[in-house]
Amino acid sequence: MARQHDEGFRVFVVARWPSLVTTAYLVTGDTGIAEDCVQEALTRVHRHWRRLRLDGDPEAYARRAVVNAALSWRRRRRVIEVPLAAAGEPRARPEPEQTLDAQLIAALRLLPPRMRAAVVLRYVEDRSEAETAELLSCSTGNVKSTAHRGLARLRRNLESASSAATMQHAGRKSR
Amino acid sequence: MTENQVQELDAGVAERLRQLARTEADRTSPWPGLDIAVRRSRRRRRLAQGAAALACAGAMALTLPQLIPGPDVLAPAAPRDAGPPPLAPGEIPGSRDGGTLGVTFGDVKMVVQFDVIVIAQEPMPTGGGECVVFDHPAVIPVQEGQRVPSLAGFAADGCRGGIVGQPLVGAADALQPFADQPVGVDVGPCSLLGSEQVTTSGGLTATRSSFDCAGGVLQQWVIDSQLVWTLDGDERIVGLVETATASNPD
Repeated sequence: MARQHDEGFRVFVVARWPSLVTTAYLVTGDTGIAEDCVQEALTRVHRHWRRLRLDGDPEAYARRAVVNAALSWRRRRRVIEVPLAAAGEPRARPEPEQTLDAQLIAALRLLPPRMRAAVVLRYVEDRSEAETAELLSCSTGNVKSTAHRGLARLRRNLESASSAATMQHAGRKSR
Repeated sequence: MTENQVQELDAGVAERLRQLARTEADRTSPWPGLDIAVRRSRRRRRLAQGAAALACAGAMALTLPQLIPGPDVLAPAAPRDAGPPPLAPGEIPGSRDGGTLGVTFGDVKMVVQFDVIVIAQEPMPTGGGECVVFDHPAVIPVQEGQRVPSLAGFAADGCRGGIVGQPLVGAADALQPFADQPVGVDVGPCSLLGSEQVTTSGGLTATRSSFDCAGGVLQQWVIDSQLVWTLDGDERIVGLVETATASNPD
């Protein structure tokens, strides 16, 4: 029985892992942390697997747990963030394509966590307002306003990142 | 900018983010990290269940004697239901089937559940005294509700507690009644005196740990997977003297 239970859970994990990590990555902006969040969430799913499999929705539960873990990770991380001075040497200059991706992720990460989660769930993952509200445990009205403000802010972030890159590019050309 | 533009993320940006996240997700794998996390969670849950069972058992042990009529009202118990006779200090009880043993060390209540109680054939030496704890794989030492992985941790923090064999899973089994012979002993905070290899009078090699506790000196012998606890010179501990083969952890 326990083996069956574990087998069912393994099948579920294999099927849902990529999608859950994708969500966690977009909310946290870091692959390692995304993995940790999904792992934490799936451990919770495993704990309630029997009940969830019989009369629940394991995927919805798992996704909500992932979003919660990603948001609470942000809260925890703030305390242990390494000062900039302690950070290592900057990496080699990325390729232009990578720069664009990095800009996108950086612009997303500049949003406050809940706002970022609302933008990701609503606009990147194309979820309905009701679905997003359920995942974030808030009202649809709250989702509407948070996502709306988040989207406007994301645009501003992208615009300023893009103009900074253009100025840098022009500066390098003039040297 | 139109209202529609404000309400939607540019399709190119959204797609690019999705693609980027998918690429990152493809680089990850649930195994073996998830297996490890699930095992860890399971172990914690068992510990929590053990603690809950303990609390229930403790409450039962406190309330049952008040609810059950005294021996003058009850018919004499069948011989097999009778608890083992009181032991003289240093005496080792006879072998018996598995069961649980409830103890309280300091502010920690514990249950030790055994598959089989096996008694050493030779009397154990009882000089010294100790609160024992050690890092036998089948036994999880507990300190104030926390799992302490090694003897070193106990020694550093000062031992307040004791030992849990296999944590109880679910309610105590009627065939392994917790209340059969519950023994509570408060030995208070303890500190490790030492741990050493000794040979018993029967020629068995044992690890003996000694702890100096507020309530006395407690000592433990670990002989293979068998455990013996004694608190020297204190009759309260007599019921605690047990030798056990702990069940194997999963």
